[in-house]
Parts: sequence; structure tokens; C-alpha cells
Amino acid sequence: MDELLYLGVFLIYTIAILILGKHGFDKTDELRGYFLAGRNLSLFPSVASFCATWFSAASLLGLPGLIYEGGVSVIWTTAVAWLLGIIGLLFISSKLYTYNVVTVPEFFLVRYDSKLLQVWIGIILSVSYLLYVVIQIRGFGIVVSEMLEVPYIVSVFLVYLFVLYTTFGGLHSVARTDIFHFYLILGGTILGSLFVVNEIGGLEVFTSDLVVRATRGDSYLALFPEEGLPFWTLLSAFFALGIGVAANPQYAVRILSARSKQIAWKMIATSAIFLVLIYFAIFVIGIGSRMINPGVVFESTDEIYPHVISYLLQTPWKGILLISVVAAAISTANSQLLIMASSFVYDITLPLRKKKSVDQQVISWTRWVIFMFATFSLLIAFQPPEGIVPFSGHVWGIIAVSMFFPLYGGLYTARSKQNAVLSTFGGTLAYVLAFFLIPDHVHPVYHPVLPSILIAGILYFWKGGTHDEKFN
Amino acid sequence: MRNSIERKILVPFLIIVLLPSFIIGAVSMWASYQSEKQLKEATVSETLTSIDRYVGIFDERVQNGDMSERDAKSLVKVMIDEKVGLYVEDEEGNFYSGGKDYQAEELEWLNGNSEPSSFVIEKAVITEELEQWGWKLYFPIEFSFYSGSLPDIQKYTLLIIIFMGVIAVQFTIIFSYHLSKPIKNLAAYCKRIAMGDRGKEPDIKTNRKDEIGVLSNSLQDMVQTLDKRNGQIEKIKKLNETILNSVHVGMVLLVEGSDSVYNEAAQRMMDDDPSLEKRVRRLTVHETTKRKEEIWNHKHNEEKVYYAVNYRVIKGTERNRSIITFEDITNRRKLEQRVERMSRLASLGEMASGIAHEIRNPLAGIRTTTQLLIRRLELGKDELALTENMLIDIDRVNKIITNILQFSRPLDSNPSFIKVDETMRSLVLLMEGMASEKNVTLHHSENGYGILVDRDHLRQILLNLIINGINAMPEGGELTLSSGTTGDKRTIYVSDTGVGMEDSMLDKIFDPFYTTRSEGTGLGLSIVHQLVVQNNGEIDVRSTPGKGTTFSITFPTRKEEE
Ligand SMILES: Nc1ncnc2c1ncn2[C@@H]1O[C@H](COP(=O)(O)OP(=O)(O)O)[C@@H](O)[C@H]1O
Ligand SMILES: [Mg+2]
Repeated sequence: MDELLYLGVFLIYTIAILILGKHGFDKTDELRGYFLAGRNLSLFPSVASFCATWFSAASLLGLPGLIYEGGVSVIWTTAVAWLLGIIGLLFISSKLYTYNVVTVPEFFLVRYDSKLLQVWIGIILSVSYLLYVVIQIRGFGIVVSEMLEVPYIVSVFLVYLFVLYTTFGGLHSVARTDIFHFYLILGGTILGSLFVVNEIGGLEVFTSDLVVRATRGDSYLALFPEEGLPFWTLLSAFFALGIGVAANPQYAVRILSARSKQIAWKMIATSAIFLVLIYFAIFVIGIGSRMINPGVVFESTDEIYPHVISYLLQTPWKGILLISVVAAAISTANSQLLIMASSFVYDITLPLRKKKSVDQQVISWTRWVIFMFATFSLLIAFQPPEGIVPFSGHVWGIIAVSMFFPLYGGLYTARSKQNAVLSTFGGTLAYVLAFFLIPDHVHPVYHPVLPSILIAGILYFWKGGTHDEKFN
Repeated sequence: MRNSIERKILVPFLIIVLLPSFIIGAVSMWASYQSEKQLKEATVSETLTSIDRYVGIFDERVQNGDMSERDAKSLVKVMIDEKVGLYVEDEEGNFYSGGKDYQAEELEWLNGNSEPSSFVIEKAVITEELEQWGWKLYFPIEFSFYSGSLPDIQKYTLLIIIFMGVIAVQFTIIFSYHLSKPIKNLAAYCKRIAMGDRGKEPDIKTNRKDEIGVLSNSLQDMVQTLDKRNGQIEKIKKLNETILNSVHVGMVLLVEGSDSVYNEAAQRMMDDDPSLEKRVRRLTVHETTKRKEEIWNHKHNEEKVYYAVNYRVIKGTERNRSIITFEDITNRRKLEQRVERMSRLASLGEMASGIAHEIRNPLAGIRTTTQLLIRRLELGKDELALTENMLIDIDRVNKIITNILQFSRPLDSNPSFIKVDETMRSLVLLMEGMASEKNVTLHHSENGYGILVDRDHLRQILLNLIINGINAMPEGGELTLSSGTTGDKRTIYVSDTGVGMEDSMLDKIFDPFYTTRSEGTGLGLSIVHQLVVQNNGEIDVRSTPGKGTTFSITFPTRKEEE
């Protein structure tokens, strides 16, 4: 019975995406329309798209699993660290908005007048998002194979149907489908938390049980881990995740695509409220699942949530919970694919080719690149090489060291091209060295981001550099 | 865009794509359902027949006495027990299944109380008579699409169908988008052209070789040629318009039953002259067929104006149209009048001087003879008075003759640069006495103009005009001397507030001997005219009966270069 239900939910989701995604095809005549939805998104679509992009398969699948495993205290190195990044975004939104650029790497071209920076950041984004898209595809595959009881290989392949289709329509399609995805994510997490609480026996039982466990001194519920929260762990999380989010072009693009800088600012502020709400629901799910059954056997934490949904919850609405994970995976994957492809086409190939091209041709070319990248990540996702999943955590770190100072410094200081180039290359190099020098198992405490971001900052503000005349 | 080409491609293709997959899905579902059902029925009836067979064997044994009937029956019941869902009705009508007894009323499938077969659930009861014992076996079975092992068997078919369907739909959408996009772009381009916006070219690859490429290229070519033509037409139109609007001839196009069209000159002339406007507006096409040309004259700003008006009916159109042109010929008219006047005065002067010559010598004789006679004849007092009168009249005639001769054979003029103000001032001083006698006040305004004219001639001209003005004001009034400038010519105005003159009179006042005064000679203005012409000047007069008269004389400021 469940299978048919899941299939039905999946079918409805598919039809909705088919209809919503088509919208973008009619509106993509020029690059600005394709990459930035004409810089004309109003508040609600902006918020929806921001939140839908924010919650990836990693947060919807991984976070409940992490909480199940590690308890409440994981909040510091996850949700709190991520949310810190939002402050940075709030900070730069109106300044960034005034730049009339199509992609984020183009900002570096405009601000520093450096093609080198544009191409370099384009390369960083293409590579790091490739890894990240793999994670989304994996998340999608896990959930869909659980839902439809098909082998993982088959379910991973189905991602094509959604990701390519929505990305082909450009940001118009992505934003339109993201509204739907946002509803699914919000509804899915809240419903999930309600079901979990209900399964435990209602809100009263849940809270009284919590109180009992808390007074009993269950380490699992402690806000801070027993052994204390090491300063370096916190700092690592803050720099790797918080700064990674703050400098993440995925969100910078949302700022650029808003209708006005006021809307961009409001979008981030409003999204923050929704993010907190959804994180709260996810924590309830994680903790509640542990209370229902503390003994789930799993290979990776990603499998916990689907397992809880499939086996521990008794409700016909379970399909929505699973599809919300699909929504999170697709909505993040498509916007990342779009950024990846735009970086590759607009910021790497176009500047290097030097020949002027018609918008329509660039868009067609972008679609091919999207197809290529999607296929490539799909192939990796079929059989993820050993270590790629843990390594993907470094994506944020690399983005932080390579982009944070040139982006934020570029908006707020008068440092020159020379400093920016030094900072981004020096920071990235330092990161790679630190990655190999610091042993793997101490990464959570002494993350490679710590020394490298310091170096990136020093290089950026190094006095030997000249000031940019534009700012004097 | 409900009627967009995209939809016209999309919808039929979707149907073409989706319908077969649905049908294939449904058929394969149906087929496996059927085979499943048959399989189930087959197994059930096989069970029933095997029991029937056993009953046959048992019955034979009972007949042979190898077995008691009771044992046989209980053995069969055990077999029935083992088959879940199998019921048996014994010879007394009691039902038995799974070790329990049932009443007939309890069994819904038997009584038909249960819900009948529907589309999703199919129900059937398979029966078998055990004739030997009068028993009957019942096996009620249910089939449905979603129960049993069906979904498991069908899951992959279903999934494949669904996802092939989705892929097909997506391809259809992308395909129809790609097919219709250039057409849409072309349509948008055409729309832009229709709205008059030529800005962008259609968003279509220029190297497209298919029909759309041909369409787009030829459309662009077409638009280009059209633009070129339009440009040419526009140029010609502009030229025509400039010509039409820069000529001084007023042109009006009358169209029956709609508004008339006026060129700029017509508009300007009509704005200047309301009576002209009135006359033009009154015209109808019908009226213009009656005549070809005419001259209009009426007063405008106390001055007579003349227009030469031409009518022409335009043939060969369904609506009657005609074109009217009119031209201000006032100045030409004046010129003509002046030339005519001059020649008239010249011939009159010649004649007068001839007469004067012929009369002067005999008159001199008459005068000497008369004086001789007075001296020789001893005349009485009365006679003497008469002869004195004779002499006075002779002197008068003589004076007239002198005047005539002066008028006809005037003195040479020696133009020099004269300050107008000085001459005016001295004349005003001279005339003040006479003016105040007649209750006339003299005004003059000074502008510091200089003109090229013979000083004595100018004095005489002005004197004559002033005297005429004073004479025209028997009740008293104001006489004003003023001056103005047009180009490098200066004009002196002598205006009075006297009786004024009718238009008809204005034509005659320059004629010699034309006078309305009993003591006048009618030569004053003739001489004025003569002198003005002699000094390269022009004279003009404007007058309104009862209001006053203004004479204007215009002189050059420097020698005309020839
Ligand atoms: N300023 C005037 N106002 C009215 N009528 C005038 C004026 N000047 C001349 N006339 C008319 O023109 C006629 C001719 O004038 P003119 O040639 O000077 O002869 P005269 O003064 O001897 O009559 C006058 O008789 C008079 O009727
Ligand atoms: Mg997402």
C-alpha cells in the first residue's frame, strides 16, 4: 500500500515540476533573464528560492541524522554556524546589489578589473559546486530508492528528469519551482516534527519525557557536550561554515536577482526567520527519532531520517516527508548547477574566447554545459569515490578562503587587484597545504580553514599593495 | 498566450506521447491481472476437483465396505479445513469451513449482501457439486489491482511507463519550445515593427538555413527595403511640405464632407486678417466650380487689401475636391497704382505746361495792353476799379500758370543729407501762428533721423501737407509730425484728426486741379507728389472719413547704387 502511495506522491511532484518548470522557457531570451531572472524577483519568490536553496539534501537528510547521533549540542557546529553567515549576507546585500553584473565572478572583474580573478573564481565555483551537486544527487538517490523501492542506481538516474529540466529554464524556472520546493521543505519538516511528536504520544508526553531525560542529565540533551565545546572546534565551524555561507555565490546570486536592494535585504531577514523555524523542526525530528528508537542501525547518518520515516512512523502522509527531502535536493542542485554552468560559460569560456556571442547562443551553450555537468556529477554519484563525501565538507572552506576577502573587502575597502589576487591564491594554496599537513581526524577541531583564512586576510590587507584609485 | 503555436504543437504531441504509454500500461496491467486471475481460478478449481476426486475414491471404498461413511466424511472435512476460504454445504444445508460451522445467513458472499463486483474489486464464487453425498463446495475469491502480488509484479512496468512518460513529456516540452521559439521571436519582431519600433533584430541565428531562417532573412530584407522606401517617401514628402509651406501663396484644399486643409501661408494670412478667414471659410466646393479667379478686396487695419484668388476643381476622385490659392496682392496693387498715377500726372503735366506756355505769352500781351489802356484812357472811378480787377485776375492766372510750370518742369533737386528733426522744428515754429488761429495744436516727435533729400523740396512738401492738414480741421484738432524707420529708409508721417477722405477720393487727390475747397487750386498735392518722386521718395496716404488722415513720405538715407 505504502509503495503505491509513495508512487502517487512522487507522480504528483513530477507533474508539478513539469508544469512549474515550463514557465521559465518562455522568459529566457537574454542572459540577465536566464541567470538572474531579469533581476526582477519580488519578495516572496526571493525568500522561497533563498530558503529552498539553503536547505540541501545535506541539511534535511544529514542534520536529523547528526542530531540523532550526536544530540542537541551539534547545533553549534551546524545550524548556528550556518546562520552566522546570514549576518554577513545582510551586511553586503545593498552594496552588492548596486553592481550591475550577471554572475558573481563577474563582480571580481568589475570591482578589480581583473580577468584573472574572474576566471579563477569561475574555476573554483565550477569545481566545488560539482562536488556539492554530487551530494545532492546522492541524497536524492537515497530517498527515492527508499520511496520507490528501486535500486540506488536507478533512482539516481531519475534526478536527470528534475534537475536538467528545471535548470534548462534558467533562474525563472528555478525560482518558480523553488516556491513549490519551499512549501514542501517547510511543510515536510514541520509535518515530520509533528508526526515524530505524535508517535511519541503527543506534545505532553514529548515535553514531560524531555524534562525527565534532561533532569536525569542525559548527555544527549545537553546544549553543550559533556567534555565541553572546544574553542577551536567552534572557531573551525564558524570559519568553514559561517564564512563559507557568507561568501557563497549561491546566496549572492539571490541578492542580485531580487527586484531592488530593499527587497534583497528583506529577503535575507525574512528567510532567517524561516530558517530558524525549519531548523527547530529538524531538531525536534532528530531528537524525537532518538526517543522513539535509540537503536537504529545505520551505515551513514544520512540513512537515519529515511529509515525513521519508513519504519518508525505510521501515517499515510509519510510520502510528503520523503518528497520534502527530494525538494531540498533538487532545489539546491539546480541552482548550483546553474551557478556552475554560468561560471563555466560566462566567466571562463567567454572571457577566454574573447569573441562576442549572441545571448541566445550563450544560453544554448549554457544548457549543454548544464547537461555535461549534470551527467558528470551523476556518474560520480553512481559510485562516489572513497572520501568524496567527507571531502565535500571542504567546499565551504575553499569558498571561504578564496572568496571572502575579495568579496567583502571589495565592497567595503579600497584594496587593489594585486591584494585580491594575492589573497585568493595565497589563501587557497594555504588551504591545500593545511589540508595535507593537518591529519584528517583533527580536522573537526583544527580545520584547514583556520590558518588559511588568516593568510588570506593578511595578504588582502598587506600594505605593500596599492590602493585602488576608484575608491580614493 | 492561449493560442500560441507552442501550445498547438505541445498539446497534440503530449496526447500522442502519453496516450500510448497509458494504453500500454493499462493493457499490460490488465493482461497480468487477467493471467493472475486465471491462475488463481485454476488453482482453486484444481483444489475443488481434487477434493471431488478424493470424495469419489472415498465413496467407492464406502460402497465396498472398506471404510465407514463417517470416517470418509470426517477425512474430507479435514481436507477442507486445510484450505483457507473453502466452504462446504452438507446435505442438510449447514455450512462448514476452517473447523467452524456457519449458518447460511452469516455468509455475505452467498447471500449476495456483500458489495457487488466493481471496477477495482472483482468477486466470484467457484463451486463444485459432490454428487455422491449431496454436498456442495464453495470458494469465494476476490481480485483487485492493488492487492496481492500484483503491485510487486507490475511495479517496474509502472515505473518505467511513468518515467518514460515523464521523459517524453519533457522532450516534447523542450522540443515544442525549440520549434516555436524562433517563430515566437519572429512574431515579436513583427509586432515591434507594427508598433513602429525598429530597434532590435529578431533573436534568430542569422545562419539558419531552414524555412524560419529564410523567413527571418527575407523579413529583415523586406523591412530594410521598406525602410529605404519610407525614407525616400519621407524625403519627398518633406520637400513637398517645405515647398508648400514656404510659398507665400495661401493654399486651401477643400474636400466635400470633411475638413479643409490649409498650408502655412494660408493659415498665417487668415490669422492676420479675420475678414479674409471669414471669406475663405465660407467657400464650398460647389461654389468653386462657378468661377476660375477673382480679386477680393476689403479693408483691414484701415487699409485696403487685395487678394488674387484662384479656384481649381480637382477631377478624378470619388469625392469632389477643389484647391483654392490666394495671394496678397496689396503691395503690387499699390505699386501699380503709383505707376499709373505717375504716368497720369506726367501726361497731365505735359498738357498743362503746353497750355500754360500757350496762354502765358498772350496773357502777357493782355496784361501790357490792359495797363496801356488804363494809362491812355481817361477812366472813371468805377471803370478803374473794374480794370484793376482785370489785372488782379490776370495776375491770378499768371500765378497758376507759374505753378503749373513749376509742377511740370520742376527745378533741379540737389539732394543732401538732411536732419529731419531740424526741418520739422523750423516748420512747426513757422506754422504755429497760423495753426493756433485755427485752433490746431501742432506736435512733433524727434528721432534723430537723417535722410537724403533736397532741403527746399522737403520744406515745401511738408509745408503743403501741414497746410492741407490744417485746412482739413475747420473745427480745430491735432496735427502730428512723426517719423519711423524701415530698413535703410526713413518715413515721415503727417497725420491730422480732420475730416478724412473716402476711398474713392484717395485715388484722385494727387491729380492736378482736384480740390474740394473753393479757394483751392488742387495743385498742392500734385506738387508734393512730383517733388517726392523727384527725390526718390514714395508717398502713401491712409484715411478714415471723420477720423483723420495720415500722409507718409519715405526717403532713402543714402544714394542708391545703380
Ligand atoms: N489732410 C487732408 N484731409 C482731408 N482732405 C485733404 C487733406 N489733404 C488734402 N485733402 C483733400 O485733397 C484735395 C486736394 O488737395 P490739394 O492738392 O492740396 O489742393 P487744395 O489744398 O488746393 O485743395 C483737397 O481739396 C482736400 O479735399
Ligand atoms: Mg535545497
